[in-house]
Amino acid sequence: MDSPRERFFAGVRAQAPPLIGIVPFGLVTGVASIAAGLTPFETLAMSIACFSGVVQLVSVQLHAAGAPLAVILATAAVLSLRLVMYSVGLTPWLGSLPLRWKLAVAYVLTDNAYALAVVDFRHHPDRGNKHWFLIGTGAISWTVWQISVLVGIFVGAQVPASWGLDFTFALTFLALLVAVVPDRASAFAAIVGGGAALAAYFLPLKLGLVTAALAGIAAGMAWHALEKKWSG
Amino acid sequence: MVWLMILGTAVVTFALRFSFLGTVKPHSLAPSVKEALRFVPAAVFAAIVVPQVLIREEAIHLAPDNPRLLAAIAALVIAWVTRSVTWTLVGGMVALWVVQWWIGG
Repeated sequence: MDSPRERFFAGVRAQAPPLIGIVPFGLVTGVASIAAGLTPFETLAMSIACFSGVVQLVSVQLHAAGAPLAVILATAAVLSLRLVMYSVGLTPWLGSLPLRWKLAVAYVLTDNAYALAVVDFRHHPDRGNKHWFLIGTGAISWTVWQISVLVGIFVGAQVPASWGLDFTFALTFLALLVAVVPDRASAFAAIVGGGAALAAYFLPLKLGLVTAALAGIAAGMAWHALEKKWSG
Repeated sequence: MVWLMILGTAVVTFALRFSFLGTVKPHSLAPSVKEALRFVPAAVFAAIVVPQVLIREEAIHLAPDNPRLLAAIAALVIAWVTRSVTWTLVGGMVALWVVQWWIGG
């Protein structure tokens, strides 16, 4: 039941529906990278090295706009801060793994994989081989992501912009959002996080996302504390 | 410059992904940290989605003539009812195309 093989394919199956969002996002990233002046080889190398659509897409856009390297790296760090939160979030379950498994899981840790893993781990807290679930989600999403970027590099520019393929990025996170709002405190965290993201959007260095996320977390905690006070 | 960017973004991204997984032991996490973690996905996903939908051409566009706002509302309802990433994507994109065609038509 909890064999590596079973957990691996449970991860692959869980990741299959979100693949529909990875494909257009990869296409858009491939197109944007070429438009920013990267060669196909550089685009693929970056895609394998980063394996993060948000970082790739924003970095090549900044590069095209002539931003200095320091600004690109600072932005990439800020965009990846949520990965620190995911890293913290998985630590209670995966913190005692051997180093080689932590390195492997960290490399394929994405928004999708985190959301799927949290749901699976919460529903089945006593199952073994949890890391194999993430290796499964990672194996399929990594493969499909790289192929999508490749297709974007070579044929994606022929897709008209009016199709709005980049909107699939927002839709993917919208679906993930609904899945992670089980109670009122989480809903309040989401409302404050989303509202603050709008208010803080024009902060320099894309700091708006991080500011908004922290505001949302604080709001969720405050709501939870008030609920406890009222019910107790 | 391009290769420095590739190397730099890769190192930064991996280091942050690995950060806590690599260093912090499970039992050393304070209850307040665990409590805060519960709200991370909701806050982060909302903070990513809202500007994607409401910021158009570097300005806030909160009006019924923003096709992405209408499509996102439709997608939110679909996501709520179906709990499916697939149907949210399909329904959201169809809604976007229909609204764009309507407004543009």
